[in-house]
Amino acid sequence: MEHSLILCLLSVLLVVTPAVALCRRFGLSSVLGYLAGGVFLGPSLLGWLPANADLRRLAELGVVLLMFTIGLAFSLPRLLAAKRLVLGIGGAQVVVTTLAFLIAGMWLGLAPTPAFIVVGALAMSSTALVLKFLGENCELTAPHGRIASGVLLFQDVATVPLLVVVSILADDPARLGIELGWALVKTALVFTGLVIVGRRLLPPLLNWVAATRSLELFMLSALLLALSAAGVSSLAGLAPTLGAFMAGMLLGETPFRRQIEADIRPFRDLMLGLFFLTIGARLDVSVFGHAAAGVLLVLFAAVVVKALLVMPLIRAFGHSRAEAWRAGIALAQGGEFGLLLVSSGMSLNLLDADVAQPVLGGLILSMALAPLLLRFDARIAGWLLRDERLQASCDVEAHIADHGAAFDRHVIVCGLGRVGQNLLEILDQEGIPGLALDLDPERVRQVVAAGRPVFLGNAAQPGVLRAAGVERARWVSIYRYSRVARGGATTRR
Amino acid sequence: MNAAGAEVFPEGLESSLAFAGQLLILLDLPPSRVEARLNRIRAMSHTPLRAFFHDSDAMHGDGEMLDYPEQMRTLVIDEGHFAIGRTVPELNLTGQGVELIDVRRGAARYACRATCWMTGFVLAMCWC
Repeated sequence: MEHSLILCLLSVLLVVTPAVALCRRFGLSSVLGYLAGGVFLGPSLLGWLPANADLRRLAELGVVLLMFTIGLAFSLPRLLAAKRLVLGIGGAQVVVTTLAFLIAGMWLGLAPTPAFIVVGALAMSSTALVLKFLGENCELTAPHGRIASGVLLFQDVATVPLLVVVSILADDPARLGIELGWALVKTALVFTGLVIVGRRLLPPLLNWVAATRSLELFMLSALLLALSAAGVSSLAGLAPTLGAFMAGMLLGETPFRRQIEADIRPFRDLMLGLFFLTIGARLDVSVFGHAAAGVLLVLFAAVVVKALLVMPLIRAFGHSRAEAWRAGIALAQGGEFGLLLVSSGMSLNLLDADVAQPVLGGLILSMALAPLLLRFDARIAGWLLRDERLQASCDVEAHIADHGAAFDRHVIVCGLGRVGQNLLEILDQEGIPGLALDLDPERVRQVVAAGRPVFLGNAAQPGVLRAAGVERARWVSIYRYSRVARGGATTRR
Repeated sequence: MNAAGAEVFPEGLESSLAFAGQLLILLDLPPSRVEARLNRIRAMSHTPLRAFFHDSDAMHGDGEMLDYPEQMRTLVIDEGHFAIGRTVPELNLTGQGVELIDVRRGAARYACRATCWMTGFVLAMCWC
């Protein structure tokens, strides 16, 4: 028995480690690596993953910890400060997308319960993929990045009631109204209990644990808190994720937030990896053959229809067309919470395989497509808007990126005035690779002809700096007010 | 001043050197090596720093031209250019106040003196 467990773990690690390594190599989210690993190990291909419930329960622990960390990061004041983005655009996106897809689903002949799960899944985008991409590309503070992260925050929180509704639907759909009301009462009771216990007991307890200066004890306490909240919620007949989320919210107010988050993270990432692995394993690859139309329909809905629905909503909140398109394209994919909803629906026998499989296939494909769409969102938006300036800015970036790829551990010289040129010359003499960006086309033409690595581009644009390899650069030199500014990426030296 | 052996140079050159020196130190080069590099440039009366590619406005007469009269230009020898087939001395560039800094074609660099120019050559020149 133990022998087979070790072999099972070994096969998982053998497939997943190279898959995640490949994803890292190509700058993709490791979520895709786990999903692909799951598809390979699953019964439809290699069949190495045992189909027992233990593995799935362990994987669901990952979701509980994910909700706990979302609760930790969730802050009511922050939510209210960004209420126009989060509650306004985020709320409108979830409501409008859900309604539109619900009507389409019913029209296609889906029963209400499966339609609700599928629609909920389609409305969600991938927080893990999008925030990672926007963060890595310095786009989180750009207008489209702020809109996308606001909407994603709302979606994350909206998943909590959606999961509760799904668990109620499994019990008795006819009593949904009563059950939902009862669940709300229980939620309020659990929350009040957690608040009282949390406010009174947690700070002195955590203070005592912190005073012991034992990292191990602190980590154990953090895990204990997350799981006991999930347990209380589960005992009250609610989704364990809900309790975990509420406990996270309470702990998010304490000064220990960051430490708890850091302690929980390795467990969460591993368990969540396992969760995505089991979801990948649930996908029957034959669905791409016999139900290709269904997969394509889901893909079309998650990518094209969702972007088309989101774009006018963002416009209605007073953002420019370019921002609306870029944010819409950034949100055009299925996400981990969609997969979670579908997987819960499958576990609770609410979704038939002939509905669930094409949805899983379409969502996973849309997530595989997402990095490409995110990478080229400005170009696509420029093309859609016939905005040559937006497109041209991408062409400039592509040109710099083509040539800049050869530079590693280099210095990026922003501005090619006298000092910039002198700097480039001295760096060249010292054998240190330097790359310069300047806005004067004639001067750039002259300097390029002299064989210097100089590119026409505005160094104030994150995309241009990224194309110049700011992640790999040792230093970024900006000579404007006689200072050397340390580039963000230099911390990776 | 000349009699006293003093040298006059625009203050910007020394700030350029200080800036470059600071960057080299940040790049973990040994301070002695950085100091030697900077002193070498000072010993050459800042010559390597004096000529540079001015911005396109300055080419039409700008304040920068007063402080830094020497400027770098590149010239691409296109097909049919009168310089094709001639050698450097034949063109008497120095006589016209132009100094040839570099000759290249693609990635290859050529010696400035003993070259017979062909199509595709790019000349980097400095003139006052």
